[in-house]
Amino acid sequence: MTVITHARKKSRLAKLIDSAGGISIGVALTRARENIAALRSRGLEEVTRCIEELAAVQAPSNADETLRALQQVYRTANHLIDAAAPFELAELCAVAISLCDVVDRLADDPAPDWRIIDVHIQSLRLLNGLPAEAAAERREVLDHLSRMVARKLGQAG
Amino acid sequence: MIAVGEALRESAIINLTGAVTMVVDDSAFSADITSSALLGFGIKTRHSMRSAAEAVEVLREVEIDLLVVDCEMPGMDGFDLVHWLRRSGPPNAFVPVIMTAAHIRRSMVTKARDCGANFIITKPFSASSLLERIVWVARDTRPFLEVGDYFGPDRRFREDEPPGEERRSDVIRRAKFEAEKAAALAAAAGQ
Repeated sequence: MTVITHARKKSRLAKLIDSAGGISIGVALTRARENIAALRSRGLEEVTRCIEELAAVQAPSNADETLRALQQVYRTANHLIDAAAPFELAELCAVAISLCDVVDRLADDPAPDWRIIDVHIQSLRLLNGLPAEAAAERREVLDHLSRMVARKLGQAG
Repeated sequence: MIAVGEALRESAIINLTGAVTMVVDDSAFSADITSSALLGFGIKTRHSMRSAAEAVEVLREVEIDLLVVDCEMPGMDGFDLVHWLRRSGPPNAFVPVIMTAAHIRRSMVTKARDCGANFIITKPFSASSLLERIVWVARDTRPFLEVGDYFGPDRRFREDEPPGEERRSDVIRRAKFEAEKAAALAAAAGQ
């Protein structure tokens, strides 16, 4: 196979980064963390909005609806991860990632078992409603979900 | 000055103020998070786009210094955008590209590997890992290769390893995770 190599010169970004002025890495990171922390309340609202959007997706009744519904669930679960990830909402992220994995696996199934998706959405609602100190309850929700996924998708093959 | 592959030193000085940066993400909130982190680094996002199609319109005309793009978007996704960008010629074909992903579908792993991005990072990522990768892509002098359908940085790292792990480590880690999960599921089904 033919390989064409394009040599590269120093990028403008590389020149800029070493130019006079600027700030220390320490200051840059502190400012970035503060900027992100200032968005926390919006992030929590976004998480709740995404969960409600997921809950509003109707179980599909035919192949066309299935594809659309799975795409919507996948996209909204992605947005939920976007919103939850910067604020260390690890359990919510874990369930949303599991939901993305499930949708990915069910994408080839013409009649997917929608209950698997419903249980994920219920788990998200539960986790979102639990107080920060309820670590044991959150662990229980995750364990229950993980057992259900193993059982259902294990059966599916 | 920070060298490629060197961990970020708190006292090192960077100047990213003049970097013309584009953030592409269909989630307005996610774009705001990315732009907020960049602002902390001194980068004011010049172009914040909600779709790849909008980004293409600007990228045809305006030279940028850094592109941060989400992988999963409706219609033309982030991989398609980067694939297009690398073949778009001047002014932006060689621009440093960092892709972000909340989740990568199994069917997208090859696309992710072959789109021509400098780096793909999976969420959650910290401010320090984002800055580390920006510094790394700024210093990245790997030649670009055209091999079959691939046009992008040479994927065989030599002396200048990226921070942490290899560029596709997130994809590889996910593939390993998927394989382990499939094995566990198969074992559970057999019980």
